[in-house]
Amino acid sequence: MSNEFDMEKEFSKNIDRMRSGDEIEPVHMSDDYLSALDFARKLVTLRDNPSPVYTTQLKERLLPELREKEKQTSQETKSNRFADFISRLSSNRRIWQMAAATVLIAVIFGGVWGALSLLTPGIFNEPSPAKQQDAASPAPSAPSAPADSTPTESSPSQPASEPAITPADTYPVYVNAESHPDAYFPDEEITFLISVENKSAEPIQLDQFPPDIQIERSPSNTVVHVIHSNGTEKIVPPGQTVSITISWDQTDDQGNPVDYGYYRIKPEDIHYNAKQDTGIFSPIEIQIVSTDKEKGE
Amino acid sequence: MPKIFRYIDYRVGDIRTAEDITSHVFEKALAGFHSFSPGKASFFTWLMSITRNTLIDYFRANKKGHQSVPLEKASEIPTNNPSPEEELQRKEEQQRLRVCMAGLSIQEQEIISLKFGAEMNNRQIAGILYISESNVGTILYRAVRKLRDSFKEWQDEQ
Repeated sequence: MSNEFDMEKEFSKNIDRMRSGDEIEPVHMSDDYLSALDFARKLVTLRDNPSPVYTTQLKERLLPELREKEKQTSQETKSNRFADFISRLSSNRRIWQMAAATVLIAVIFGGVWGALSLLTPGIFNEPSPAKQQDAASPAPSAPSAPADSTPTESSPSQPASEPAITPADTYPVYVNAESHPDAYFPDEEITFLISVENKSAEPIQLDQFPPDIQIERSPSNTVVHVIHSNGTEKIVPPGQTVSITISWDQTDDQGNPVDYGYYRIKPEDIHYNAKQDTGIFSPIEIQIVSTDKEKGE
Repeated sequence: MPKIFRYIDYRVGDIRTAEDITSHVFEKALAGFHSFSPGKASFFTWLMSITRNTLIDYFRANKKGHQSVPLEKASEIPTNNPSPEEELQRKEEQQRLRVCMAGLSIQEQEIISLKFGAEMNNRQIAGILYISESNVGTILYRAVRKLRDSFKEWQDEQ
């Protein structure tokens, strides 16, 4: 299996080299592999290119539109400049700002004074930003698993969200990942729900459920951790969904805490019905924020 | 532009249609350029999203999931302009390749088109199709071998 995987990986790399005109390195010497490589070479040479006439016509059609857009953009920029110019007409801009701030403070003070004069003296209401409250007590919505990366199976038949681009009649199996909230502090356990929906009219047998989960740094797509769930085969009736909650303790494969930033949660491929095809899934993105930042930004 | 054109050409199997769709793609990109956000994706990835959505609209409008070239048309080669023997051979092979592509699954056609047409690497393809990089490699290898076998059958018949 590992040899086959290496061969497929090498095959793809050789195609990339071929396309860019580099030397290819056929490490695997089987006839089947070499003839596949030869055919890939043929595919590269048989590619069509847009005709020069078409390219010229497209440029001629699009360039005026592009110039029009640039003109509109520069007009908008001119309008902004005009507004700036008007604002600069008041030479003592700083005085205007100070005056506006003074008026605002006076209004607030007057309001508070008026309220205090009606209420019992001594009551003082300090404004409390909603974000600070949210940051102090985050509330995960999904049921959590133990602190290490282990899955917790939940009840089936939960609805999955809408699939991505591909039409439903082409791909009957959809895999979805959800996380609420989508931003976490470093010491919080991250939980996400993985669901697999069978949109077909026939039962399907998944070869592994729950799937392994790949956690990637975004946007570089560097894999930082893989959660091995040791899943087993599972049958999903038509129209039904199976789901599971999985936790991540924010560590990489070496057990070190990961940095702040964005991470993509990607379920590994779920093959079904004797590995004929894979389900389509939409990865999600979560953010690990520092304690100085507020959640939700 | 050539990458976008070639990708579309692989998917629809007809140069004129590919040119039309390519034009639509660039018109849409121009109209929607204000929505492009460099922080979210590269320009090419953004353009490919528009391309794939445009293709989906095309296939839905034509009630197709993939290109289909009737077998009887496989041997019809445009003969309006005389061309050298090699060019004729090339055209025949291109036409046959389109027929063979129609025999692949949609996912296989997508991956072949993205790899050979749009010249994307496995990681980029995985990001667009939301499958793993390893799976892209597996499907690509399988699809190329299927195409090779189908193509060889035709060559043997010739």
